[in-house]
Amino acid sequence: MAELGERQTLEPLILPRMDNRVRSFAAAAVCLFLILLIPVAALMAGSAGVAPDFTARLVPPDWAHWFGTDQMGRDMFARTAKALTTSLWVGLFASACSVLIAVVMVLVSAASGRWMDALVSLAIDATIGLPHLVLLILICFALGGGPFAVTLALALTHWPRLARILRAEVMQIKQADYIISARHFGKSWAAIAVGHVLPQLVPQMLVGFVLMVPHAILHEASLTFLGFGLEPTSPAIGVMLADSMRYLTAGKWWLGLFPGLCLLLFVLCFDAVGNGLRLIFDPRTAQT
Amino acid sequence: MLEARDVCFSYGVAGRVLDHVSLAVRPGEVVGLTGRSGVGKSTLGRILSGHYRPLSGRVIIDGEPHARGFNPVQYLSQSPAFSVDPRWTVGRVISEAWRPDEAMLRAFGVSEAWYDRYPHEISGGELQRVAVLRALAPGTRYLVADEISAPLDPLTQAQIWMALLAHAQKNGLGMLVISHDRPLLRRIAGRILDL
Repeated sequence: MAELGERQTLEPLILPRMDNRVRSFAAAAVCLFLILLIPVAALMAGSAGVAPDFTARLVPPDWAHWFGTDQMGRDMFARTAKALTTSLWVGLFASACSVLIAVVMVLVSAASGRWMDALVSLAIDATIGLPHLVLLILICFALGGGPFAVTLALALTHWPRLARILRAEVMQIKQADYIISARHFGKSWAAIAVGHVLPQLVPQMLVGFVLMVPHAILHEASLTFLGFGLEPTSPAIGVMLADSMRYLTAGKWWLGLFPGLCLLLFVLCFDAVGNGLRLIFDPRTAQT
Repeated sequence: MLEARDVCFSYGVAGRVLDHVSLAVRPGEVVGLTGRSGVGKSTLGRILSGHYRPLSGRVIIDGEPHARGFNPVQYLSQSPAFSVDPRWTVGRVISEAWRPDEAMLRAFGVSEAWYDRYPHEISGGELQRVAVLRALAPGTRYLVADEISAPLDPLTQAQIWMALLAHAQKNGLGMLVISHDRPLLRRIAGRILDL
């Protein structure tokens, strides 16, 4: 009886310890669902959302058009799904490139000695020192805009924060006795980097990547909103938000609300997954 | 011969840990090194093994300085857990240096059954035996053993030292044994240096 009493009192203490994992798995499930659903919805929509229909201009949300239609009569739901698909690919690809740049920079700097390390540190500080958006606009402007320019600009500007974290980690790992032993067994830095260092960087890389995706998506939308990103005719959240500004005062609230809310939900899901992974990988919070 | 000639060393701006220290270990010789805590025994061991670069003075191995590639002077520390990658299996840890034959495995009491286990899945004594075996690759000519048997039980200590001394005698391996345990040094070392 005493044991049963103790167990009942302990249960509420044990259950909250699963919170991090449950929340992270729920966010990951929603994220995965959106990643699968959005491109499928965009594909199923066909030409809807792209082809204008001047007989159904600025229709408020109803059963035929869940998110309403825009000034050209295009279905806003189909257009939002297509825009989020573009954002998703740009965000995922740019973040993957950024992680790759950060890892290569850090491993090369660790292998090449003090001068290269100083150079990489300078590049990190210089890139972080400049406002992201200014650098993004400059690169996009120089490359003439479009999905390739936006992806490249995002990849070239989002690596430094992750590189700074990875550099600190590599500096610490490099001093480990087993790395020194490996060096004294005649192993090359490339072999040490692949065998010993990279596996230890995987958690940071994964968390960095997942947290970078929403950041990159928001920057893509900002760039497009400002007119430096994707083409003004293409379905993109930034273009839709920019277009909606002209109609907000006329009471056409659905033009900005639904794409904005979808973007927010999408970004928050990725952010929750990233933060959950960070808490799970961190030994101090892994059990909470 | 493994030689330290007029070696000086300091950590940062603090006072010198080693001030013009010289010693030599001949092939096949077992030299004991002792001294009070903090006198620089481990630092000297690490300098001889090429882990640290001396402030001044030189380390000469059979007439040549430390070179890139396999280091003929291997260093063994008191805590083997730090000298093996915790994410690697025991088999992978050993094969990073070489592949010992059945006789070597038996001599050092290392079981092939451990090969699939991770370092935290075997005991401290077993891991120390793995670390010793790994350091005895064919290219090793000198071994710096820094308090390697201090945390082990007497039986494991005896097993490791018997196997090591037999290997050293057979292969002409020079050994610098760093320890606070003078009776141990008197038993295994040809001469004892006090730092």
